[in-house]
Amino acid sequence: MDSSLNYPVLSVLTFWPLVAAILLVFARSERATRIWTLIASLIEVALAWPLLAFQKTSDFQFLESLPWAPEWGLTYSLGVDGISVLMVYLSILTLPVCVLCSWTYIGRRVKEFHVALLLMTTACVGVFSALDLVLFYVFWEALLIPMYLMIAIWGGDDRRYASIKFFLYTLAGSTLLLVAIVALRIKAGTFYIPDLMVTQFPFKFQYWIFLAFFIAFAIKVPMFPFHTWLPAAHVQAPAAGSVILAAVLLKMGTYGFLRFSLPMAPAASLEFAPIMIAISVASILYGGAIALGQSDIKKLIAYSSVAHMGFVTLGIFVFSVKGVQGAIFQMLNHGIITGALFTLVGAVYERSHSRDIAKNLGLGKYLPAFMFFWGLFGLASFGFPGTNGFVGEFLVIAAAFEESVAIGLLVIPGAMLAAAYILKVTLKMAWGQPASPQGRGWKDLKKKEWAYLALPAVLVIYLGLAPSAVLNIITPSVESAVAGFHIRKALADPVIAEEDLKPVTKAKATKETATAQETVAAQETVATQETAAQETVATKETAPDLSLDVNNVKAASDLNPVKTTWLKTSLTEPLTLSHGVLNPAKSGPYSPATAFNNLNQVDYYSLTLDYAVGADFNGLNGFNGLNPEVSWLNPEISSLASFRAKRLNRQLDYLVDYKGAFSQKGGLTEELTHERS
Amino acid sequence: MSALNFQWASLWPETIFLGAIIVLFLAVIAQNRAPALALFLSKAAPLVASLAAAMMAVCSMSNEPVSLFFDAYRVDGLSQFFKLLIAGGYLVACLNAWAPTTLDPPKRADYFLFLTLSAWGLTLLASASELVTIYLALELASYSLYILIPTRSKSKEAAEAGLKYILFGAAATALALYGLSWIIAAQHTTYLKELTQADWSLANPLGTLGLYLFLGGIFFKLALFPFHFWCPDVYQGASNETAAIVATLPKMGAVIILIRLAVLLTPGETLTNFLAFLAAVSITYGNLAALVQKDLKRMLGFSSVAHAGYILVGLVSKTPEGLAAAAFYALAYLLMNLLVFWIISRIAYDGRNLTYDSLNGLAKRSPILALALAAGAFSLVGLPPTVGFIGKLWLLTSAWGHGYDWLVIVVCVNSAIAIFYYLSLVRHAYTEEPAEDSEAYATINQTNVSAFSRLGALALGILVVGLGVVPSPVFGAILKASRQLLP
Repeated sequence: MDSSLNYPVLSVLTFWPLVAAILLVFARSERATRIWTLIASLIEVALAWPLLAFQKTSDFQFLESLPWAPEWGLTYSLGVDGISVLMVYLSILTLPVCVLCSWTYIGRRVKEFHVALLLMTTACVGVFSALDLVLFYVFWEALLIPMYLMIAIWGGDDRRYASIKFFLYTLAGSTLLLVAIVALRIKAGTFYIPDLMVTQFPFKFQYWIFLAFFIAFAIKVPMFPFHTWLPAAHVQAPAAGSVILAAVLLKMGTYGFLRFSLPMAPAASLEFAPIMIAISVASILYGGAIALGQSDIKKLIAYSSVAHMGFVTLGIFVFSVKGVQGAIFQMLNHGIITGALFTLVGAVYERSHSRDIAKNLGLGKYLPAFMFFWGLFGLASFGFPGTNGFVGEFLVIAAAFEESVAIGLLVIPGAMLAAAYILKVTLKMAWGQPASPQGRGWKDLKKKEWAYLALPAVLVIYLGLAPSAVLNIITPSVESAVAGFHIRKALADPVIAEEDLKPVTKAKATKETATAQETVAAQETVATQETAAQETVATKETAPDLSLDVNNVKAASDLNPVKTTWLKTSLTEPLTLSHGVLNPAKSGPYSPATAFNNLNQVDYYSLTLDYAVGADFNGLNGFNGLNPEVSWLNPEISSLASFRAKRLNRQLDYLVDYKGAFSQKGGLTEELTHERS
Repeated sequence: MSALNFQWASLWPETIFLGAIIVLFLAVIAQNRAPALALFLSKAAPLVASLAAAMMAVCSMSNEPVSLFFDAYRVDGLSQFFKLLIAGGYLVACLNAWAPTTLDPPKRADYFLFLTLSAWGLTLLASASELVTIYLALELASYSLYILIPTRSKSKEAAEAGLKYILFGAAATALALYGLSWIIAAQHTTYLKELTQADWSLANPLGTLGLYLFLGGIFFKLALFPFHFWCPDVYQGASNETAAIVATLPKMGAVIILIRLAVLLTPGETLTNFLAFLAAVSITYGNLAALVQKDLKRMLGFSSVAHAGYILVGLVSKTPEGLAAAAFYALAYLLMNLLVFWIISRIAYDGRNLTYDSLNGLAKRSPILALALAAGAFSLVGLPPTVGFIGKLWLLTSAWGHGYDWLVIVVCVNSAIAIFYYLSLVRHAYTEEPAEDSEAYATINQTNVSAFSRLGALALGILVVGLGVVPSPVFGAILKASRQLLP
């Protein structure tokens, strides 16, 4: 498929809108401007066709890389994985919707408006496909300018205040992002995001990096105390501006958390997780409660955005596969649903010239088609089963319950609030009694409006009934991200960081195992139980080594009982990895086949942990079809070998590095043939 | 020490400027008898000279470094790069002042004569590698500029600004000279090459204090806090065209000298820490003061105080990358300021001083000028994809990890302060309409939107964005040049 369409898809998708914007200079009339932008946006959608060939693995795909400023190691690198490819789709599909919903809404400075619209698409696609930190930052900041102009020129009465507030807030947030980028570059020697994602940073460094990222992303999302720019911007922005703001711009913040905070500062993410979860829950409850009291439809949806994005950040910061899946699903949902709701507000504003609920009563009578769409998106917005909103919210809430019942219980009222404020406004708009016989002359939805509402409506139903369409795409990336997160988090565990390379005393070693439960690096503590061999193993005790005592792999066993079973039955003979020979400790026969039969509930997360503690995944290639019950896993498993080999070998590097330092002090029993250059 | 090594071939830019000065001098003499000839010469000479000098500077940039005049004069990659900047900036400044509205026509030849003298002094400064030579070149460049400020006709403010510039300049010069005498007394040499080997710690207080004082003179040129106070007043008082020159060209000279002196700095030492501190204060003060200005040139004056601080950030790490970043930022500074001043000069059809309100409705009057102004403003903030962003990124990258992480954070936080007043430029140009009873409304259609003015804005705007997108060729050349200085 892609052999016939062999062009740099992501570059074309990023820069085609820019080219189209430049070509707009030649448009002679307002009509020509609109038609050309619409054509250009449809071409953009068509150009995204090769993206459908996206392989359902966690690898970055459609990679492009050119040197940009080799003096500083800057590259022009683009690529998407399961997380970003959906956001790219979302950005692209938003464009024609925006063109259509501005067709009559925008009446002045038409050409400039469409130029801003196209530039925004360039920046949005760029943000989600950039694989170089600086490139990411360029697009991230570049988006501000057209968005600012869109609010400041075509906004409502209070546009000056709203636009400046928007610009100042978001720019102030991203100033420290630049500091973080510079610091990462100096620390890791690269701007290349996939490399940075598997780099192990010291805990203290992670701590500050996380804070810098947090400010930038939390303002963008926006999370509870940083949200005040959002209602102002949403209310004042023209319909198309609100759509892009809701559908794409807010996603950049949560995308940042997923792409940067979790992989690059995992230990710090864990450290801050309680705060992040608290803020998320606060956003959900606060956004919902405030939305309930709004009389302005747009403001209501704006505050509902705060609540919905709270679900996204909550899902991210419980660090489970389910949570992150739910978060990404919710990102997509919010983009579709809230974007559509804003177009509807724009449509009704064109008729009633008011966004006040009280001025838009009884529309069920005059605008039935409008109310149908409003009802549909409203239901989806509060997560009614059968709509896509349900899937995302359910996954997040389920993950929250798994994390802690208390969090789950706190979130439930948030979900109920959503139903309350949506139903309240829908009820009034559909059946309310207008004071005067307004609205008789209003025309129901026009063809253009049908056109741009049909797409999100179809998606709402389709994704609600067949969520696997999305889940299949994101799952490998999510699993890899979550697994990688847990490994690196463990490696940067504060306990280890502080004890860094110091000889560990016997007492401490035991204590460390107890406290650092999630430390993947299994500690050699069996020796401590063998009183007879105390003298001979004295050196052994000074440090953890790669020998596995399967009875003591607390970290893994706490997280996944299946894993312990596997380890107990499997690791008996020395495993040869690319970085050294692992000499497993005393237990039963090594039989990956039996082991794998035990893994019928396997999740990739624990598989990854296995790999990090020394399981030889190349051996898994031979398992296809071994157990009919797990045969559905086989395609994924065969791709596992390749993606783990790439990503996890890097992670293993650090693990081995860390151990290697001990071996130099004579603490290790086995020989490490350390080949890292 | 080499002999009086005299190679004309490596002195082309200087020679060309000298030739232009002679031609302009003839034009001044011919002013009374043949005004047409004088006008022609005063227009042709700067154009030809700047283009030729820029070309020669580019051609000789990758040559091997040459030391001339008993090592007092060094022609190397960086000096040629700065000669290119000076020649380029001079060209734009001359085009900007093509038909200066507030200059008496008979004074035109004189104006360009002194402008060219100043540019010549700056080209000498770019190559000077000995303290006395530096001092002389600096004075040549400065004295010529002192004369330009009060040429704004019938303006008391211009006279005041001129006087301020001269008096403060003289004081700073005296300071530098005094410091120079201490350096000579303590280190027994004035050659930069030998001074790099000298002891600049506080164990040698005489020499170190002398260096501080000498740096004071340079900082005055650069308008770095606390030597900045002339800057807003002079910008405001001078005519728009002259302010464009004062804001850009002399700073290039100051930067190249600082880059040469930066070789004396060691990260972590008192002097370096002091410079970093000055940079931080200058950036913060400049931005805060600019925040409350109404007059555009005054705002740009304080903004250049902040930008002087940014440039210093590249010098504290003592790496070739840092020096190259400072040189690159000097280029960025030159381009963005010329761009903004170009637009100011176009809008102020009668040479008046502009306020933010004068920009109202610019997007309608001239989309190209407004777009270029936006590019310049966002570049001054350091927003991508502009040369201001990429220059700042490299400054920050060079300073991080050398003990000046706090300075990096100060710079970044300042972007958030600066955005407000730079954004006001864009806001007024794009979103505000002139009130019907305002002065701006009455003169609204007077904006110079000729092809010439639009072309100039477009060219500078494309450079500002283009170098932000494709910085590598230029930066690679600068980095190569700065490796000659600091391997």
